[in-house]
Amino acid sequence: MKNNHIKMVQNCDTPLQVWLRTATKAELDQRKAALTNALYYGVQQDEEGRNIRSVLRAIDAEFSIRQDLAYARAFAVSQAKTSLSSVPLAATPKQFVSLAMVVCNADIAEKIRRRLKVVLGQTMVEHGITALHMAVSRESDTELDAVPVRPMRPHDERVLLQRLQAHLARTSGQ
Amino acid sequence: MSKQENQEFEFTVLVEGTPAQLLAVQKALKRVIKETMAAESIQSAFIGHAALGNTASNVMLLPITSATTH
Repeated sequence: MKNNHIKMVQNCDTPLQVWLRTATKAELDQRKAALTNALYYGVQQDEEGRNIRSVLRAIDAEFSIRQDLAYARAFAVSQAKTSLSSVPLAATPKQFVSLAMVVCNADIAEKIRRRLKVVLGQTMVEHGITALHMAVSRESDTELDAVPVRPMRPHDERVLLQRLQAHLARTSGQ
Repeated sequence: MSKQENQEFEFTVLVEGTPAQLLAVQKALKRVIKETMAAESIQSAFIGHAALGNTASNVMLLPITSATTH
C-alpha cells in the first residue's frame, strides 16, 4: 500500500531503504537468515559491499516499524469497534462495518484502494456522511494501511501512525 | 522480489450514518470492486456488512460476481 508520500520519500532513500520498505516479511526473514549465516562464517560485507551487521540492524528496525504499523492498525480497528459497541443500538445514526474481501495481486488492490478512497469521498459528500474510516489489510502481511476517508484529501499510514501513537500516549497516561 | 502473487485483501469501511447512508457506502464499495473485476483479473470477491454491536466475525460475506446487480 504505497502512496505518493511514500514514493516521494523513496526517491531520496538508499536502495537498501527502498528494499526494506517494499520487501515482504518472508523476504526479510530469508535475507536476515542468509546474512546471519554469512556472518557466522566470517563474511563482513554483503554483495553490495555493505556492512552485514548494519544491514541486519536495518532489517530488525524495519521489523519493529512494521509491528508498530500492524499494532496501530489493529488499535484503530479495535477503537472503532469499541466505540461502535458503546453506542446504544437504538441511537441514530447507527454505525456499521462494511467488509469486502478480494483475492487479487497487490497492484490491483492498490487500484481498488485509490478508487475506493475517491468514490467513498464522493459518497460522503453526496449523502452527508460525516464519519467514515477505511482500513486495508492483506493476508500474512504487516504492511497495513488504515486511513480516515475525507473527500479529496489524501492521507498516509505514517501520519495515521503518528496520530495513533499520540492517542496511545494520552490514553495510557504517558 | 515479487509483489504480483494473488493474496486475500480485506477492505474494511467503518461508517456512521443512517441505513440509507450505509446502503450508499455499500453500493459504492460494491461498484468499485465490480468495476475492477471487470477490468482486471480477480479470482474472487466477497462483500458483507454488520450493524453496530456485531463483531466482524458475524459479517456474512456474499460473493460478488460480474453478473450480480445491486
